[in-house]
Amino acid sequence: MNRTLTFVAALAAATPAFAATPPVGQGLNGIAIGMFVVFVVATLAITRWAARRNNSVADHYAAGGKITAMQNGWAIAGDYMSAASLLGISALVFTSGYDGLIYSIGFLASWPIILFLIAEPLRNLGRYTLADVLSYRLRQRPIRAFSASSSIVIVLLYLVSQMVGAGKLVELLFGFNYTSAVVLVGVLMVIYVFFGGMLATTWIQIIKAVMLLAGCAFMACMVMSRFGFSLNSLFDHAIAAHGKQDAIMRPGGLVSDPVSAVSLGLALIFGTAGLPHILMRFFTVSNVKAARKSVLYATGIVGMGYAMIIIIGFGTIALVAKDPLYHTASGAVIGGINMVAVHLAHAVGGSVFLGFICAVAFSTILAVVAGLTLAGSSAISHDLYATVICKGRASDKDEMRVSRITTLVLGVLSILLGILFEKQTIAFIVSLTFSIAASSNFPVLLLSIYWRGLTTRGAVMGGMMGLMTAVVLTILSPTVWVQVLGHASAIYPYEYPALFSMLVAFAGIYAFSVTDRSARGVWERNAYQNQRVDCELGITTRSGH
Amino acid sequence: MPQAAPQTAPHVARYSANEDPDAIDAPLTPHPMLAREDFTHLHRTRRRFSWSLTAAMLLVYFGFILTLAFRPDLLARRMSADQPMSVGIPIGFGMFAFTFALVAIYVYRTNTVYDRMIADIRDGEPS
Repeated sequence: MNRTLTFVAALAAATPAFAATPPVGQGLNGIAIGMFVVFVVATLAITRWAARRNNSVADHYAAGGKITAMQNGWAIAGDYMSAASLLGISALVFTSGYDGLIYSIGFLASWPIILFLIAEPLRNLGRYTLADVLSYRLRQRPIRAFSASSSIVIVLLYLVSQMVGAGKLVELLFGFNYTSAVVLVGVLMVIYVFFGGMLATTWIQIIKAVMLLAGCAFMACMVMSRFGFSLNSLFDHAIAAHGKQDAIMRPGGLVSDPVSAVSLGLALIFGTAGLPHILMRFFTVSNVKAARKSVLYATGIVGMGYAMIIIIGFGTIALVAKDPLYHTASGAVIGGINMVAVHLAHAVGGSVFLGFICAVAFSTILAVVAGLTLAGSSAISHDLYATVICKGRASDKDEMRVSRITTLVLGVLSILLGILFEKQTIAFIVSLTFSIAASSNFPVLLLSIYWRGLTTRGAVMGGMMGLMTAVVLTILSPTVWVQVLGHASAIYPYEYPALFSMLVAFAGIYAFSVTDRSARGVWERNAYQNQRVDCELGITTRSGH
Repeated sequence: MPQAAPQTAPHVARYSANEDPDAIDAPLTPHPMLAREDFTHLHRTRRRFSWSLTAAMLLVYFGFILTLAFRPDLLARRMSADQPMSVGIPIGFGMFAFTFALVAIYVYRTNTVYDRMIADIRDGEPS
């Protein structure tokens, strides 16, 4: 369980920064900050360029549908691989070896599911948000209110985990204090989204993904070159350097009990299909073929990234674990184990490359929070404001204005929450986010596309039940009930809620749909036939657009 | 195959978000496509294809997860006595390859077979 926690903590990039010292040596901060400033200046220039092209709602939410499949593939990979992927998974390999591979497999396995079941219907039926798809035949106002709420919950939780992670990371890498780091992240993300909309956000994702992948490729190659490009030689050295000896080559205790194993697997594989900032990416390309191809590129990029991160992880065992340069006098890794990949960057590439990896790690967080903020603000302005409040009578200009105000509010909110949660254990938040997405947005979206019997009542009730179950079970789980709230034993004995919360969601949606005898419910079931046509061929007319 | 913006089809206009969302919807006119055999054939084969690939992914993935939970020793075995590598390592990297291969199969088949069927159906659409 300890290992599980370690990993999830790493996922959130919530580095246990017990020392605000730079990882190694002097002069590091200068190079790292210099590279980071270059990145910020470049992204602000892009934002300026994008702002001139950001004139309508379609531009703001979906970059006017002008992103190419290749660009979108990189941007999806950028959205998906946060700094936590590099730092968290390499840290998990560092502590327990093989177990790091298990997580990355789950993260990658979600992409085929999205492609086979979700991506094309989403692109064909929707315009900017997943609620566009749901409201094809469900009642606009309740379903958009539900979808906007669950999306905002997911976005806010994810934002908090990233903000706290960013604050800790910057404190450690650059030597700023925590609060100013959080404020800096918040201000930059608001500027990107407020002025540049989806176009700027997409290009920031692309640049960051290319930098991240290039950094990983360089590190993985340097590690392999140290061991004559032989995996067996790398593993031999890693086993010799690791306290657990050859246990690092085997599955450890990470997924020992079947319920936790299946629960985690479900959250990983289906959670991604319910993340609003990921789903939103399918609306930025011009057609369904481009959406399809962008998943192919993204899967290739993310898969290569994870494979290299596993190599990097074993490299950290072989090259960092025994090197006193990267340890404090008491033998702990400087900056905590989440920093092992950063130390490895120094070990294989010297202080310039170390600066580069620090800048990559921070820019990665910046790009991810920008994507999240855009998804959150579109849920509020497009779903809640334009449809629920204005009943579809808001002008484009008003909707855009509300979207920008929401961006500001989300920025302020995430800065405040980031500061508030500084000292809290937020390790459980990322797994909670995936569990909520898998138990609310995902079941409703899946059934709206594939089940004729779905009605508004079933979707809203079942979706809310799934969301609540995921939250309650997480609170009652050992991670929160025992470790955060300090109770003696957990009421819900497993680490992950997804197995039960997904069951509750699907059962709830089914029960409240089949018992729905309203005239509207009958209409919704009948409308499924026509939806099947548009799902396959695309909505053939978009009035007003 | 470029997917040209299709022509107007009046029966979908009522889904527009610009209308009063709580208005009682007019009686549904079945989409003319539903009566066409080439469309129903496309729809059936595509859904079967999508669900088959999904089933393949879920089987392999949960097969891996359940092996971890119940028989981790199967993955812990060494490739050979003189190598440090366990069976689990190539299987793990193989999972990456399998995932990408499924995605590639889907994209290839959809681009070559289904996109053509869709284009043919569209060509036959009365404008």
